[in-house]
Amino acid sequence: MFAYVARRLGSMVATMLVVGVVVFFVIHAVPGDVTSALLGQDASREQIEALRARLNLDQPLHVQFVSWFGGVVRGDLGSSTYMRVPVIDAIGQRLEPTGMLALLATLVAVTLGVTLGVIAAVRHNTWIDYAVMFVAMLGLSLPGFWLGLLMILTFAVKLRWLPAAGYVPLAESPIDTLRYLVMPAVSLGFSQAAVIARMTRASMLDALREDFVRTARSKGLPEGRVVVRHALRNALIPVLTVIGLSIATVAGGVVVTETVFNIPGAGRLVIESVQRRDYPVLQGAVIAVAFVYALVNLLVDLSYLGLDPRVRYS
Amino acid sequence: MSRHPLRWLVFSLLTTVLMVSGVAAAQGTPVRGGSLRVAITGDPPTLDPHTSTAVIVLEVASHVVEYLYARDANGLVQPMLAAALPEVSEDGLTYTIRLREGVPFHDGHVLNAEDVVASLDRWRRIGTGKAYMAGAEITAADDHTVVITLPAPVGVLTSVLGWAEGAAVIYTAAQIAEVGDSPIDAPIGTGPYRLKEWRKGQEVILERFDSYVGVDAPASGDAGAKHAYLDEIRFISVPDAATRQAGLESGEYDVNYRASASDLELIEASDEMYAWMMRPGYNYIAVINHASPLMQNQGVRRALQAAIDVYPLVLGAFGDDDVFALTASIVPREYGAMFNDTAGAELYDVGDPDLAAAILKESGYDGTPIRWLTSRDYDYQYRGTLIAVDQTTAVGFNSEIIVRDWATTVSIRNDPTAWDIFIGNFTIAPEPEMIQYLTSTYLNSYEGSAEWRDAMDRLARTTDLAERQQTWAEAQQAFYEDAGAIQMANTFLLNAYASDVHVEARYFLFQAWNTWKE
Repeated sequence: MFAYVARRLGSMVATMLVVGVVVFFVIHAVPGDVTSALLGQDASREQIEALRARLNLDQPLHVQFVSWFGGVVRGDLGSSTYMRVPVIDAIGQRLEPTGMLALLATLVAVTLGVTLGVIAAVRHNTWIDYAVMFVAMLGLSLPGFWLGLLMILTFAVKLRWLPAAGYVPLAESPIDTLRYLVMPAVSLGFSQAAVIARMTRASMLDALREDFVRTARSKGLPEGRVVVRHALRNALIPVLTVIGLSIATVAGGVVVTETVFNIPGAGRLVIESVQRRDYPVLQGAVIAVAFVYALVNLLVDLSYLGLDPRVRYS
Repeated sequence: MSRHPLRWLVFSLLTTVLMVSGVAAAQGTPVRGGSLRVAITGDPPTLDPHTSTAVIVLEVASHVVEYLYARDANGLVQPMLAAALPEVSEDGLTYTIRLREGVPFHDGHVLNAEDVVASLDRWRRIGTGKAYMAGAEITAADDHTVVITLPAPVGVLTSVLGWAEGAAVIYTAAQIAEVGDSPIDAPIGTGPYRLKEWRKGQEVILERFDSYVGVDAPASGDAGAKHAYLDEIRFISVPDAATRQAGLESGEYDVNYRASASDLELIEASDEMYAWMMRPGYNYIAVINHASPLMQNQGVRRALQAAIDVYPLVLGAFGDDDVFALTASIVPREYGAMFNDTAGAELYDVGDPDLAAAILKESGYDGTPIRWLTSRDYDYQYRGTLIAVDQTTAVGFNSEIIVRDWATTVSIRNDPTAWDIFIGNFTIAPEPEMIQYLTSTYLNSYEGSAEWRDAMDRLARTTDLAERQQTWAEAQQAFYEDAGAIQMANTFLLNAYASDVHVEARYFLFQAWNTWKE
């Protein structure tokens, strides 16, 4: 098992390097550079050329690549050309808001999704099942940003219960952190809850038809215990795969949610870096996102071990 | 013998505070204290106006740093760090600038001539100053006197030294020695606020500078006294316009910097907020790329000029006619003396398809596609371009629209071979020599006709008001006849304030001094 994990981690490093090479050339294939964002609209051609030279943007692409990639293999992602801070710091400062948002959104998605899915399966073909599936369909259909704007209008502008936008770091006030993240987490997690609910329902329906469930019931076990201990546990493996994918989707979804709710997270940093053509940050951010994806995949694979004793990694 | 270079400005056409519109919100007695939360459109690239002409840079940095002169609400240049307007030699080559004494920087150092020499030298080396002060000698005559010796007269030098965009701000000589030509992220200035913290990508926090020594004159526009009533100003980066507005409505922010024109009605109908229209904001024009072989055909340019029906185009682009004003004048009325809405006006807003078709036929246009460059990142550019393409196609032009994201659009615009025409908002200035798209070093490579160049050469050398007005009228006429660009409208920008925020004096840029909160 340790050998398996070590092998997976080794392949992750190789993946990161390949991602780095691809992202460098893809980003540089897009026209434009950071000078327009730095100098403003009224800069003359001479000023633009001088800045390009100072930032080495006038160098041939392969020279820029060697310089950047040489740093990456030494663990140095370079410095932001727009913000003039090390990329690792720029991304590091944005990880807490993004991490908290992704965590809470996943919590919303899993709690809501699994609970509703189980209820719908247990109450199969009743109005409760139909109602849950209607809500799930709604969740899948509503764009997250629209739901977010609707919530801002209702809970921030009209009712003034929650702040409209922004973020307070955990270290300053954990309660405020939660107040600022309630709406973003719900708007981001809701669509994923819908996906998880549908998968849980389908998987539970299969499990509830299995012989071991019938056996458990015939032993006289209480229905709650049958559903949770016997059916749900067995139904969770495909659900877990969906949850893993959901985390990845949530990680992508933070980009829009952070913009709508003005959360200074990594997603907004990526958007802003694209607009500014801040290559080093963009390259570093893509590598970081790829790392999170790979790590989540590994953790999901490992979690199968705990759920299904038949799974072995060697 | 010396003479006052800008005396003519006192004859300005303005008698009222025309840079200001909207509700006068300074009622009651100012209250000291509080924090102003300003939702701005994004994190500024730097706080160093020497290295960036972006308006947001100056609007944040102007609370921290100051320049030698500043414009008052009537468009007149007034002293700021200088003790008086400069003394200019008879030949217009030597400017002697006396500085105010006892003006402290935020680090305790007191302003002297060396600071000004170092700052002006840096500004002309890496900033917009190069266009006006290349080859000039800048020296300190004594501790509080700076002398600028020019190789040739520059009629607008004082004006430029008091201009906001890409401003000639004054830093300490020590900071310039330390930072060199790199952008300054922690400016040490003489302004009423000093930098407390810049959380990059999130917010810039300024705090009151208690030792500020300002000008002893009434506050007016960018000039005069600067009262720092607020303890703190927080410029919070909020790129999404809907979020800025929702934050203002929910009380999260005190100012929505750059509200959407579509929110104007809502803001005006509310008791909890009010709108301030920044005018003049920009000049909405179709900039022609004079480096493009197709656009070097004057007949083609004139046909474009005759084809454009301005009002429907600008209304379609901006959606509300409260946010723009049609004008033939290249220098807006609000900036005073150089406003002229008659010279060349017969060629403004022609909108005559038959005439345009006839001119086009005569020009020998062979159907080569005209490349209209635009970006959907700014709706007003894209919508205006679509309408312009429609209007010009109707008279026989073969148009091709290049739609890109903003960064790519800027990159394409910098390539003289890649585009023909671009519609957008361009910054305007009080003097024609300071308007970038009228200079040959700008992206549109405008050299102009012989008449234009002759008039602009004469304009650059004169400071006499009547002569300047007459010469500029000739230049503007030549500009229209040459169809140098297609002038359309002044467009205004909108800032929205919570109703408990009071502003005593306003300029066309955002300022939070002379501002207090109930």
